[in-house]
Amino acid sequence: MSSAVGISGAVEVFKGFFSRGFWFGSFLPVLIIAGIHVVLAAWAGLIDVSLADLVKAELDKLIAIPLVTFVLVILAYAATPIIPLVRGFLDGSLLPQRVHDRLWRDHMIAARKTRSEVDDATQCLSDAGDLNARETALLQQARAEGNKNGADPVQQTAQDALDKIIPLVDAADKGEMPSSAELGKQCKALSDTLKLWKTDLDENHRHHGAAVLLTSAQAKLTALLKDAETHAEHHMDAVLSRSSRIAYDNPQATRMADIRLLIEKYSQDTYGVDFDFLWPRLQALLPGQSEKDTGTMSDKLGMASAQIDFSVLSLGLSLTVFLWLPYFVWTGDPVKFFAIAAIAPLLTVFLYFVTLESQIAFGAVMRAAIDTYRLKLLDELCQPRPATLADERELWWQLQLTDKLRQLNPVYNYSNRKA
Amino acid sequence: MPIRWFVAILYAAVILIGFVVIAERQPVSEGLVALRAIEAGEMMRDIAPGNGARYAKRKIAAGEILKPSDFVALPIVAAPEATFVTAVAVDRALVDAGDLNGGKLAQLCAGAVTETVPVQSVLCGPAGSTCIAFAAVPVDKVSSLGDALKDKTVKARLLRANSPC
Repeated sequence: MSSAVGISGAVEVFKGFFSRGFWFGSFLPVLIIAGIHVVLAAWAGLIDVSLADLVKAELDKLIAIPLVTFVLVILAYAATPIIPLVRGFLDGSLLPQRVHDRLWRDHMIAARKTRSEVDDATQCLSDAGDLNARETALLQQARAEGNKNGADPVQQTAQDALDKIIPLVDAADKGEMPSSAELGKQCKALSDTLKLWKTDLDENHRHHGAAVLLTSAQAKLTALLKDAETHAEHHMDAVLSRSSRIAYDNPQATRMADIRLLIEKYSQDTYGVDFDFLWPRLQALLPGQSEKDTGTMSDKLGMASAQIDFSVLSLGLSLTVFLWLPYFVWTGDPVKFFAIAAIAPLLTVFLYFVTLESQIAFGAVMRAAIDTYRLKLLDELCQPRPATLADERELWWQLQLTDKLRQLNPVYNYSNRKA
Repeated sequence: MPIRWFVAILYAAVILIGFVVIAERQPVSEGLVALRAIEAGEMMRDIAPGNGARYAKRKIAAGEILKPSDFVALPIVAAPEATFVTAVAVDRALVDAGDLNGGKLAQLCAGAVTETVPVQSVLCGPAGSTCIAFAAVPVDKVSSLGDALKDKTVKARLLRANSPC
């Protein structure tokens, strides 16, 4: 309790000097990694720290805590510039060219496989949708034709038609959805049968039983067609969900770069405006951060950005845990050496995935900001509100074109003057 | 090979090297160390015969760590090539003095036959009794040794090497 008062008191002293983003994005990772190193140092027998003694200690005896906090704040301040460096390594932009190219090649192979899976799933869904729509209509037409021109159904023929459908239904019940080809074949056979026989017969009709069997066969097959489409849709969703973090149309060197590309593509794909054109202008319109109200878009963006900083810096600093490996080699402690050799990569991999997830979370907030404030930006640029999405895309295209021409103008002027 | 596999293999190699370095730098395990060289088949007279094991199973160099598995309860008598191993009663005093033991040379005396022979091992009974030494006699001396022993007054004796018969 006393130590908690000491830390919070020390933090309170520095609180006013830095932003919330600094405390969360820079100080917290340094504090956590420093804590890990203290635990490891105690484990290695380098320092003698007892948590129980620390908790029980009197406040006046904890004079080291403000000092340690001060040192950690300084370290966090010094470590903050590492964040863009680590991000550069993570998205591959700061890696050596050969490593970058090798990573890109590996990722491209995986991305092409993913694209192939997405294409297959899309084709499968398209086929299942077409089959459902086409064959359901054809079965209904065949039924109408049979009722118009057909004869009274024969019990055995109707039973045979149903018996061909039952195995498909059983297979589907066991999770084995019949293929489109198999369903198409059975649809054709049932259509041919339905064309020959009447199915809308009165209950008192002596062939009513056979008509019920044929109707049942049609209903089961129609349901199977619908289930096949639902199944294909589910498969498609699963494939898209799995591949949602891979830019398979334009694979980058790393997953992080893929995620950034996908986030930045959103404005282009949805509204036809380049992210680089939109985002700097949009940021100027966002309401400022507030101390009391943390629900503004700027606050949300700030927190999401701080979360990325937190995970990126934690990831970068987690690499320092590997420094204990040579130390334990030097001390000749195989148990501790292997423990660090196992734990350090797990920690780094965990933080890597945390970094990816925080980037995705930031992307979600960024999209919300674009969706919410893009029209306000048009107002600020003295542009009319577009009536449709197509109009909006056209307007953004015009604005970007104007911007590009404005950038090119000096070049033309220079050429003209020279001429 | 994907770069992630390369990194994983490199990391595993670094860990392996670290482990090898740790293993190399481990201090020698505490235990008994041979202060002198011990010949194969040598009877240990100067150590407590733990669970009866008192014969060296192999040649042990000076400074080598002694393991329980290096010793056996009964002597292992091997016959070197072109030799005939025979048991000869020996004076216990020679054994106690360390003049006769497994791995040492001894002087074989049997009438006119004198030959320096390697002792394979020595077997002693309770304190005060005589001992039996297993000596490897060259096969070309076996015939003359046999002839000499036909004389019932002649006894085969093993003496310290280079001792006059």
